[in-house]
Amino acid sequence: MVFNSYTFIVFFAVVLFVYNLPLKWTFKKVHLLMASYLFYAVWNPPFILLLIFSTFLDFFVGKNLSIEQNPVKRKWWLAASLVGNLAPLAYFKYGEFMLDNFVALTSAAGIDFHPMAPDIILPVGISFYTFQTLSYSLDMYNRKYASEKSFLDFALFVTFFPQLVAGPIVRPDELIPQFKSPVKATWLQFNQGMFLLTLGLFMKVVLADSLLASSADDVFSAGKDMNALDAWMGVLAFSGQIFFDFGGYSTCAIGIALCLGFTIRDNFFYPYAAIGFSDFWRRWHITLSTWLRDYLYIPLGGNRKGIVRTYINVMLTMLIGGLWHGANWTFVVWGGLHGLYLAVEKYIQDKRKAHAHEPGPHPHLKPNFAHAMLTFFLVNITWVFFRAQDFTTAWSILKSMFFFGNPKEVVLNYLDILKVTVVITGMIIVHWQMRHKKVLTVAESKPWWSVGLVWTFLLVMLILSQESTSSFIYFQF
Amino acid sequence: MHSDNFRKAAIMVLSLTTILIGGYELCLRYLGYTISFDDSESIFADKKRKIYLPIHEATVFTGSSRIKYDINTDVWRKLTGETPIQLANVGSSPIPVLKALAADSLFKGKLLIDVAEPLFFDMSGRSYERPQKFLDFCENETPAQRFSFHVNTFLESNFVMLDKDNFALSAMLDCLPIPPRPGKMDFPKYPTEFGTMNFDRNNMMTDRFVDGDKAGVKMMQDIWMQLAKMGAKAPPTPEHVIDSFIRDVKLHTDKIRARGGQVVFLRPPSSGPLWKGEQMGFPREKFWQKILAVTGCKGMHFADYPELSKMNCTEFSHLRQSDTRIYTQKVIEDLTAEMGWKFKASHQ
Repeated sequence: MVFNSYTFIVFFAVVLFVYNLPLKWTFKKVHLLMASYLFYAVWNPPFILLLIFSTFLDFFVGKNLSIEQNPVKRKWWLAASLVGNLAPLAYFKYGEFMLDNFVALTSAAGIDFHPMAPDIILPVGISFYTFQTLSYSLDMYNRKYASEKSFLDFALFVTFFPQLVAGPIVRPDELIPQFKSPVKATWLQFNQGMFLLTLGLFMKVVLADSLLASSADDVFSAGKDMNALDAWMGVLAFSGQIFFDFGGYSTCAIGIALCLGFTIRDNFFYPYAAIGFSDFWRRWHITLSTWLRDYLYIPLGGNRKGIVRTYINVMLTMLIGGLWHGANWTFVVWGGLHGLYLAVEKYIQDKRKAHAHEPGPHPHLKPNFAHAMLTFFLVNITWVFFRAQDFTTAWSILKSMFFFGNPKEVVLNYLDILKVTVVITGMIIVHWQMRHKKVLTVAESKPWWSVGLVWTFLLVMLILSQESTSSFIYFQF
Repeated sequence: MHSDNFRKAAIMVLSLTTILIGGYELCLRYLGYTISFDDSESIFADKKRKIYLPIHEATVFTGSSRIKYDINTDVWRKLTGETPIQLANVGSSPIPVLKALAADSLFKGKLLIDVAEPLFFDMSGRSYERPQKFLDFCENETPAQRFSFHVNTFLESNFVMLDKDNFALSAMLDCLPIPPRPGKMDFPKYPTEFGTMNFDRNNMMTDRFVDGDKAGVKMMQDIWMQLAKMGAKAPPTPEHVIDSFIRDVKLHTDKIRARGGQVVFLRPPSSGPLWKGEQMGFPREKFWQKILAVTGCKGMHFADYPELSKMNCTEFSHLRQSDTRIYTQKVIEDLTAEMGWKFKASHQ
């Protein structure tokens, strides 16, 4: 079920109604759990079994990891969780990719191998809930906290519908404690939640789907070299589309949880105002980047094993982060580029720190808008690989962006260019102005009628756009 | 901001939104616009689910916009007592739907195929995209999407403003006076009342459009002529390719007929220079007659009926509403008398 559908409006109204009845807390949690299963099942009912399997596996593994003292046996329990979670992910998400690469390798070796094309449907959100449950097993292995005693609370942590299929990737210690005592949203939380839900849907439905998606689609599916203006507009449109789509989903998820009285941490913090790439990854898909940092980069050694290993660890983390997004080499290149950017940034920062100890005047590099725009420019280059279906398309778009395309080939009309220009300019201004602020804090500081006017604008635009039920981009990851 | 302030803002949102959206709806109704459904994949899927009705209870239509406009589903339902299942798609070839029906062993019903030659014989694949997208949706439709469709149907049945092609934000932006970009060919937005659609997926031009919107009618005429000229510029399809194409069509119709289904081809009217151009580009003996000869199916060409050939398509390609009633009645009469089709109403 997607948030931008009539089904969800009916579903959420019923969930809210039952949840606010004067019932026992345990019943309310069972209600939320059943609602979450229903939320998932109405997409493809059989795949709910995978979710239930993952829940049982990690609950059981967590329990054993908490009582087992033998280091070897503990490793086996962890391995069971890793295999049990990653094997379905490998099969459903990377099965075709691995087979294609195997065929390419055998073909390069001169072996004529033509397997039947597998017809694998990707269970929606598998990458998200796999990482969420894995974090529990890894935390148990590291004895970060005691294992969860209540299966109901654990199952609700895995399946909690606001963030089940596209995050934010919530950690056990952030969400499970909230299930321990009765939670009910205050009027303020409920209204703030509805405001965030409206804002998230506006970002997704109006900005991403109605104003930007078609320009990005037209440019990336043109299949030919084109005018630099068109190429840039297509890439900028995608840059905005992916932010509004995914950021919109996260904002909805946070708002929906807040309407129920639960708090979920932010997943985006005005990423296009980032100054540099470390800053970008502190603002973009925050719950994934912190997951990769805590469960991959740091266990690999982080920056504790010398400068060369640090660079290798950064690159490896970003390559795997790229592959997490999709089973295609273009995603690996996207991750690789971000790894390269981070490495170069670290090198420059290290050099600057070294020079800071030398006597004499030093040019003090103050973060400014130009640095943010340089970061945005370089991020846009990476989006080309993220969005292009293959390297031929990516290369064609890149060539066109840098005036090596076909200047006579135009793809977009003036209206498309106007829409992209207005939305992207507005997005950059808002990101820069809000780069240290939270939207609810800003709303709280304004008079009620001005919040009411903005909120009305969002809702009216949402109704007028009449774009419903299109899937969120990150559902495929 | 205190809780009370946020509550005030929420009340303001509900009040203002109701006033603004209600005002927009009332304004559209005052201007004379009526309910029109969006031609989405969901409504297509809803119709396609009905194809398994017994042969004497329904007729399936496929093809392009001509059969969607010219077969009046209300008249069809009234005269035959059967359910009209409209699976045609604007600007599209009937082949993907025909192929899907042929491959579906459970489909054993009556099928009427519209032959608008430029689309029926389009081998570029462009006119296959929309029906194929809709058919793929039917395969992958989720329970959530189906539920949303029912809620949406209720809302679309009651709100004129819920017409994505005409009154949505993107449609409003399309009306901005922005000149075309040199080198980029775009068709102008179709006039609002050219293509209203009912819940049967039956399109119609309102009388207000046909009689009162001279500029809109002229625009549609120009669009059809421009499309026809573009088609005329394409190199002619070799005869052996056409023969092979028709043999493929026969494979599909044979499958349906072998299961007890009935297939008839229908050539709805076109007029003026468009009809002349179609006659030149697709001579009857090389296309229409060949389809009938090779497939062994019967067909009904409007030019063979004096009363139909006199009908005038105002914008060259589709009949006005009053004429669709006459045309639909004639098609039913002819299917009964000449093609041996039996309808539920004729049994009773």
